[in-house]
Amino acid sequence: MRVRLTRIEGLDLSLFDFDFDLTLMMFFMDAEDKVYARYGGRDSENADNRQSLAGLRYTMQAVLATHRQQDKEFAPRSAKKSPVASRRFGGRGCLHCHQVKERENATLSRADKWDQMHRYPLPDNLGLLLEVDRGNIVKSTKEGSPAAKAGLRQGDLIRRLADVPVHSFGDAQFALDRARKDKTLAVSWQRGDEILWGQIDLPADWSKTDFSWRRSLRRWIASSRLNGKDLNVQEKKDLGLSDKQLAYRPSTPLHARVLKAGIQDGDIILGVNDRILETDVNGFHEYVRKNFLADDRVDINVLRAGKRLKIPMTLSR
Amino acid sequence: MKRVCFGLLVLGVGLWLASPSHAQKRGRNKEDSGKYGWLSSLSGAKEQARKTGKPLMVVIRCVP
Repeated sequence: MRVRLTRIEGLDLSLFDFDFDLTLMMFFMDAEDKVYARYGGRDSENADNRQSLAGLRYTMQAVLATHRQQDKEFAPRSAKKSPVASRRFGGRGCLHCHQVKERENATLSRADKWDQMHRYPLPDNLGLLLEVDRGNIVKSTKEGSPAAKAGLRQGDLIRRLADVPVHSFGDAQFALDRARKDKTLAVSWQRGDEILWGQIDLPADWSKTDFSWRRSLRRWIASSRLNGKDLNVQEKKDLGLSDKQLAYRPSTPLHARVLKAGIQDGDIILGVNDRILETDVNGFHEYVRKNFLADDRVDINVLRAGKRLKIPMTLSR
Repeated sequence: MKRVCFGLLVLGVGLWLASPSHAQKRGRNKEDSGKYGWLSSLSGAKEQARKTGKPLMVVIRCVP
């Protein structure tokens, strides 16, 4: 049975619990409101690069196989305090999914719980890359990452993350969202005929993800207003910096806010809050978006005439 | 003259309302849904799923 819903009001959000910044999400379930799998999800680079028709087909086949089994496995259901989406959530006319998220964000803002805004973290944050056409197959693991340390390898089929059966990228993100406050995450996977178990250690701040694509958070996306051009290898060498280290010259004229903070023409930007970043200017902006919110107070690390300075600055929107 | 203009206006509006493009816009979603077997009622789909023993695929699509 195929159902297409273009309005979220009236839906039970404890059942249809998903990343409300998305414009497309699919649920596979039985007639008694038990969810087999989810399909959907994205990252900050592109709305589509985590989905494919082949990937959808793969998940649908897994769901049909599970549906035919005697012992069916279902995803756990979340307990939300306001389970039914209504127009009181915001806006006039049709209630958009992101407006549900905005309401949640407003509650979090009042409670000063910004760390909880990094919802639906990417598996990539744990060094786990999943295939797009087979959403529960490990494409690769990053060396030394929590996923690699847990024992996961390329080609493994992830069966469960904690209590969530995994048939897709969407399932994996749902499981990771539920584990945001945990220290470890149980994982079960299949390698050939072997079923394996392990624990993924969840480091501090592991759920932080670039949320610049999220409509519900657009007013909180931080910007340093420090665009510029990277120094070349020779310039870095002349200044005694490693060739991988962040070092760039801000474009002129400098933004009024930057000038007001005390940054001058000719300053070299080295980082923020004493963090040595091995990246370029684009990576610096991504780091700022990922780790700070608009109006956060930070120290910009600057090199001026051979001297290292820390210049306090409030990040813009 | 006024009568002729009014008559032409009524005729034009009538033709536009009856045109395939207007009808298509008006009922496009329903027609497409029906054509490809999509339902728009969750409770109706659940009822059918119970009768047929089939699983449900629920697509939530935020239309701007």
